[in-house]
Amino acid sequence: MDEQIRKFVYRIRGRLREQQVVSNLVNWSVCGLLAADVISLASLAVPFYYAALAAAAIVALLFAAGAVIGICKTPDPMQAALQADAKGYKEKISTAYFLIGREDAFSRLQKKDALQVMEGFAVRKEFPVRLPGKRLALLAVLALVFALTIQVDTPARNEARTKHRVGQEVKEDIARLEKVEKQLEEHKDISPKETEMLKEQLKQAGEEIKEADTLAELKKAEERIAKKLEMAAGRMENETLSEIAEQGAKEAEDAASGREEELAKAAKEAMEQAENGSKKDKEKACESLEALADQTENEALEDAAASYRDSGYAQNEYKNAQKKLEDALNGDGVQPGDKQEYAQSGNEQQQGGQNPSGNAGEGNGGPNGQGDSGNDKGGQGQSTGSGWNKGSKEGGEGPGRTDESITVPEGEVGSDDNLTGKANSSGNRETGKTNQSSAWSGSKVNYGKVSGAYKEKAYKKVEGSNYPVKLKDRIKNYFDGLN
Amino acid sequence: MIEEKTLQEMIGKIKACEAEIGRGIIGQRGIIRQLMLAVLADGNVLLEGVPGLGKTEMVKAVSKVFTMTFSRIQFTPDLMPADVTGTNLIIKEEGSNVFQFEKGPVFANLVLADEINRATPKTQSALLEAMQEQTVTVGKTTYPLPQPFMVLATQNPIENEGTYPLPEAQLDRFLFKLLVGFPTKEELRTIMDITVTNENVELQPVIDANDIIMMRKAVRDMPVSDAVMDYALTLVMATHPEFKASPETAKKYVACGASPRAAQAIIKTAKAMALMEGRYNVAFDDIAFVAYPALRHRLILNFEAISAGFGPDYVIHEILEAVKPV
Repeated sequence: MDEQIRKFVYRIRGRLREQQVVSNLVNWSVCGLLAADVISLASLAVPFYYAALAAAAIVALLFAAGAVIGICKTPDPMQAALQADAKGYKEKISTAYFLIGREDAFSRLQKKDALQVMEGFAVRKEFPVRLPGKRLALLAVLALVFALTIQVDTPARNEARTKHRVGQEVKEDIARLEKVEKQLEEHKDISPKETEMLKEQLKQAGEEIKEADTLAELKKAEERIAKKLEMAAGRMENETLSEIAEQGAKEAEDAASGREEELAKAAKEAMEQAENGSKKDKEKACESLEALADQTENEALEDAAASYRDSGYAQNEYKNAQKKLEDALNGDGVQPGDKQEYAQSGNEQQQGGQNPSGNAGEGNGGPNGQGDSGNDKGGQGQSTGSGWNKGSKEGGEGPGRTDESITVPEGEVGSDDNLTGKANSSGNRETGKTNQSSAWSGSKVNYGKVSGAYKEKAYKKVEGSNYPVKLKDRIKNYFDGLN
Repeated sequence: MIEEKTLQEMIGKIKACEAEIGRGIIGQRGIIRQLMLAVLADGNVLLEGVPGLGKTEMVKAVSKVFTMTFSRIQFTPDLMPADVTGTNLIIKEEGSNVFQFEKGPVFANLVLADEINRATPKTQSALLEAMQEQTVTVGKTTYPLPQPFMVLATQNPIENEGTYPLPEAQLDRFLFKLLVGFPTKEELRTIMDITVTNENVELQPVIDANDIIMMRKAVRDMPVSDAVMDYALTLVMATHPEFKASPETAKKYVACGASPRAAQAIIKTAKAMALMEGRYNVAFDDIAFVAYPALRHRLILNFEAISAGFGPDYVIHEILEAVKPV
């Protein structure tokens, strides 16, 4: 009799546990999805790359918590018996459970009475495990909201993706630098002084990479590192050290150019697929174009991608975007499959954005006009130039960089008078030869001073010009953006 | 050890008893049931109601059905304790004068103390020992009262002139205080049919004193689960305003909560209730049912409650609402 009573009470308890688990699972899932929706909605405005992942993790975590809490909240057998009694059984079941082990007349009669009740007790009917309809509907609505909002593309989402990509690339770059540093330590034939010197270079390079916020900045940082290491290798007497530096330089250079090539290739493939593909393909094409535009700082490409997206993927905008991509690939320094070259001699004319050969790389030269060959030649070009210590990196004073010392070719700092670059009507700049450059590798100047003076001069020029106000603003913005 | 068969017979007799009393007393089913509970739980009952509601008739009906010795004491202001308990008389025995105890009307199984609040506190107190100890002490001798013993007292709530309210100590010795209400129109019609005609209802004895003693033993043996016991005790605790978990109403209106006798009364009568219903266990509902008659005379309400017009039943109701079974 006792065993029968015990079994019955445990059966009730099991059923209550099932109810608790189901109820908790639904409740906690609602909480989880609510949190997921909040994260998803927040990530529309705030860059958060892992929004989807975090939301999924929270939902999974709360779902599991619901199950665990449901199990933990299972009532004890006496509570279960009392809950069964609450169905109108006048505490017969709980008293029978309480009397287990007692064998007096009253206890026997009571248990017998309780067993009769238990025989007619339909556990499944009295304690049904029902899914709560309203809460399930709420769950479905929340899931739908999440599914919809997580797919929406916003500037914040794009920024998050870019930042994430930059972060990944930075990690890879840092790993490469560490590898070079390790190689340095492995070679015992390198003098401590030389090792220290290169280590210092690597340390500076690492810091520079960490500061990069965009792919373009990263690219420039990588290029500078490549150049620094390359030059360091040239100056080093120790052959091993030179090899290590050269190898590091090559890897940095490959990383910078490789990513651009990869992006360009991806953009080209995406555009081809998008032509007759689905909406998703078209979205992907847009993303690829934007990534490439970001990497190359090509505004035309960026505008084309935005127009294509905003038009709802209209065919004419597709053609426009396709053309811009081809232009960028052919004439804007983006060359999938071709290795990018860097202007180093300073005695050749280089024209940014109008490279006729298609394989000579982007024109170099910021307003500092630093040719790096040492023969008094300074290159000039558009600010997006990819040359080492030239182009935009030297062309403006960015926030938080005013005290930074930058490495310039050895020798004196060139005068702005040596710059011969002129802006044409389309905003491009031409470069010309000069024999006034005195820059040489190895010197350090204050970045802030250079870029500040440069920017100030540019502002004055713009203010004194007859350019339309809108254009003036655009030019100023350009200089503001230099860092 | 009570046998199963005996227990079943007992339940049958209790039900028959209730039905037989109901034959003689029209309506007042709840009061009859509570009276039966008090009998089974070995307690005394205070019946309160306006004159003419059949309180005395009810007690008489009980005595007839139970076949027990019955005595009625009409309480008046000049009633002396000896008139209740009995006294030592000088009698001549074998040529000499000796004291001999002459038992008073309290020496009966069922004592009806009619209009108990009309007697002086001194006389009322004469019942204290009888009610609690079921003995009477005269001089240096203590006399046991016949078993089963039970006092059924009545009092009129509306007449205050020349009455002596029962002291709290005596009130606490009543297991139940029952409020006899006015019958319904239908009940009143039936009462008229019986009382103002030649129709006569003769009640038949159903159980005797031995049966009652056995039933009281059975009631004491009735098991109570921890949860039910806990509920009863929490209810009693909740009547105390100083108890942390007592409801706001109790804190606001109760001057002094129920004594441990209240808990005993609740548990004992709840057990009796279960037995009367043919169950072998006490339910939460039994506790809630007996809470009113067991607590209402044990709660001392403060002036605020009286001025607001709240009686003990209101406070008990609020406590029952606030304290839920586990």
